[in-house]
Amino acid sequence: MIERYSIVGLAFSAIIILLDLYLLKKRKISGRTFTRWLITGFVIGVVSLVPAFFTLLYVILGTEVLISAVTATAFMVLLLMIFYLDYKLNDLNDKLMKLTVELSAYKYNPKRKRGNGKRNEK
Amino acid sequence: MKINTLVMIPAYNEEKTIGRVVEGVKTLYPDFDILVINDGSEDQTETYAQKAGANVITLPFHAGGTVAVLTGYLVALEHGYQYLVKIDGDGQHKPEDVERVLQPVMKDEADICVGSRYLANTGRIEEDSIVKIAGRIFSSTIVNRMVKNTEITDTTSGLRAWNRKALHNLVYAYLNERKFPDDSVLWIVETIIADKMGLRIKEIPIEVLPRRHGKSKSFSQMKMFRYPFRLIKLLIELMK
Repeated sequence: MIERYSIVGLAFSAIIILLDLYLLKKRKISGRTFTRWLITGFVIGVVSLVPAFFTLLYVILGTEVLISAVTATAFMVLLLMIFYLDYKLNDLNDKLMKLTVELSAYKYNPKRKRGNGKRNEK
Repeated sequence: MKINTLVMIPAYNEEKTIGRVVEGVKTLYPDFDILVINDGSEDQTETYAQKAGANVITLPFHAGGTVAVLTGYLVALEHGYQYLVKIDGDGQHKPEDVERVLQPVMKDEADICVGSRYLANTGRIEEDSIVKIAGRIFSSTIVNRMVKNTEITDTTSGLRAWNRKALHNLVYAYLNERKFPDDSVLWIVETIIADKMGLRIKEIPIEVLPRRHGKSKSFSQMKMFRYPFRLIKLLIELMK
């Protein structure tokens, strides 16, 4: 029988992948961020389906407390918050790049006269 | 005929070649304005470009090829240039080919003209690695499946020419309708969206010389790893 934390993991995996695809279709996310979260979503999905990964986690962390659905939900909510912040950061980065283009273009000041005999200044 | 044309040369750490490229263009086309867009170089690219007689815009930080190219588009639009040509700063393009890519645009046969190394019958054996060649074949297959009005053989060519109509449409799309594309897929994105806008794209054969100094900025192991993901992302984004 499938564990509850696996169901939570699968649900959040689907949410992350669908959100990622939605933002991409709406052209609101750049390539790097999209790829990062697509891979994250798939990894969460795979890990949720294979309980052996959790056993490995117990060994690495040295804990005997079993992962519950509540722990998994808290972790996934945290991950979704990181996704949101990453998306906002990505948005700000894009705005910064657009501002850089406009600011840099404004700096252009040709040294010599153009064909109409007038100095080509803005 | 040659007035009102801007030649842009985006450059990042190209101090060994930029002077020669600028001088080559200036000698052949004294009526063209030359703009070097220095993408936050850490070497003397800016100094050598200025010494060679180019106008130089230095970006405030290393922002990448896409930002440098779009700066060139915006400069050409805002300063009333009729035509814009882009040539690489690494000396791989021959200045003689600038006029060849400009001709179809000036004659109104195309809105965008792309120089293709694969159309030229130079007799030279392909020197790139198998991974690079496979990447190019993969990307040109994808592009040609997505565009309707043209067939592109060289999706990554950096020798291009645009008219004002093309620049206006592209700048509007980039600044208002979409995120900036990653550097590695800029020309692929541009080809697809230009085709969707109904802009006419034409390819002409050019010869690309081997790189003499430095490393290619387009290809690194990490970029080659990311490249398929970016193409998949592009497919999803542009699919209806």
